[in-house]
Amino acid sequence: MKEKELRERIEQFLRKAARNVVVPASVGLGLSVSGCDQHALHVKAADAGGDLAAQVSDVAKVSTSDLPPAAPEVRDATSPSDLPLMAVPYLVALPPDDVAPDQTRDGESEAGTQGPDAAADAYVPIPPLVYIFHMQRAETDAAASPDAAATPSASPEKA
Amino acid sequence: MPRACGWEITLRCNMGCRHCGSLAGRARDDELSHDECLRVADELVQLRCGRVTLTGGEPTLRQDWDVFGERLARQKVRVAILSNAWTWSRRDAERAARAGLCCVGFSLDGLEREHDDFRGSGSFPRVLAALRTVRDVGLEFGVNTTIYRGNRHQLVALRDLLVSEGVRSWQLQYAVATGAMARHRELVLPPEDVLWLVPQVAEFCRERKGGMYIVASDHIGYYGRPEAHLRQADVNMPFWLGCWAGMQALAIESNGDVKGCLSLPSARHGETRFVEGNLRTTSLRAIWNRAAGFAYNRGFHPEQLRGFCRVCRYGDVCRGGCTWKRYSLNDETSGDMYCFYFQALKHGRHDLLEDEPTEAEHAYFAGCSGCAPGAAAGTLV
Repeated sequence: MKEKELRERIEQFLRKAARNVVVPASVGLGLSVSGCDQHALHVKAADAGGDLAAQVSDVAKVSTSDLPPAAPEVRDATSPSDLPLMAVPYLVALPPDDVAPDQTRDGESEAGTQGPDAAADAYVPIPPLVYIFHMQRAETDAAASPDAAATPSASPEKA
Repeated sequence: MPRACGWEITLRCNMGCRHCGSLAGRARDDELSHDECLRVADELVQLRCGRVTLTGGEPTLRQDWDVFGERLARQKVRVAILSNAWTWSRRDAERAARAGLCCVGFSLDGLEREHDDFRGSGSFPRVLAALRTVRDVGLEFGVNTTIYRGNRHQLVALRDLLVSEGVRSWQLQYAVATGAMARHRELVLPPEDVLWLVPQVAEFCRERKGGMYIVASDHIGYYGRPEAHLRQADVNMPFWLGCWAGMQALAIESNGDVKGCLSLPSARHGETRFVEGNLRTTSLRAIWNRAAGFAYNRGFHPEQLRGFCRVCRYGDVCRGGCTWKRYSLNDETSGDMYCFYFQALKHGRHDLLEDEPTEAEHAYFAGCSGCAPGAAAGTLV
């Protein structure tokens, strides 16, 4: 897959995720979706890191004071068909349920089959992807509008 | 919420594998009690963690392992256990089935001589026997294989063996020089081997011989032609999206320390930077949701990239590869030498890539000694 397509797929994913998330208008797109489900999140998480928080906040035109006390509902943000299987070293890899339909799953316990991964598959975009999305949007905005050119750009080097 | 958790229920182990990243053997002095573990199980459920792997050490050395598994499984968590099989018996298989576990995994690191050389004499037949006990009780079972110098050329034979045994999933991972393996660096793969190894694993994934599901661990691959085959090709984003630790992966050590991934070093290694908190003093939810938690990933910024990754076109997506692997390399000047893209560019193997290198990428390797074009071509299966 070429880099261009790879990035387009990420952007599609994030746009779809963002569409499905109901957030207060004051909260920037993407800032509401992260790994955290309690805080409106990595904005705060990144506060400690400095630059990222500042840049993302600027791009999204929000400040931490705009953020709600609890994160919006994000469980329907995406589907299991978006992200690849996670294969963390030294864990047992559990195949997705639709793999090898020819193989019986009768051996699975009732507990294991009733709701396999139902919670886990309620994916949310991971913060760095949200970050990329905002950077791309900022670049587009900057190109389209001289006013937006003041938006800080932290895009990684790309030749 | 985390998608998957590795839960080390004890660090006690009855083997002394040469590559053990956890430095397992003796139990930690302060391992969680039975009641504390039950509480941890409930906290995992409350956090809506979908998958939990009970691991160690050797998790079956803890007599109550199935109680924790059942506690989770009853609340619709998919639970697996990863064992070295040394003492695994039919009775363990039956306990796993009764507890509602969905899968049992065993470590198998090559054919008999290579596996036993890595893990201990007499281990290989015990793994095969253990696989059969699980099959007999009707549970699914998988195998994890660590690739090192000794077994790198027998993966096809090993794949065929596992297919014949009816193994459901096979996870492949590199030996990484941390823990005990840091004392056996001579066994770690040469980085340029990824140029033939990654395409071979991708081919395994594409073929799915015998219906066996092949899983390339998160530190294998990165962008190039094989990538899409390595990561579940039928999803919208079938490519590496950066380290999951603390993003959608979670790990709990037997003393209650919480990390983003069990592979990351901790107190046993004299390293504390990856420990986010302890479950004796803080709830799992509070640790997971802590504002500044898992900052090495959640607070990522491309400025953190080092070496080649800094100029790499994919740097912002990949985030420099697997955190554990990057830590083990301990070389901030190079970038991820086990990245497929890195090695393909270094050795001029542009035929393995999807895009022409950028000028910055070309410039990075210009004049690099040992970067002979076409080197390390190996055999592309």
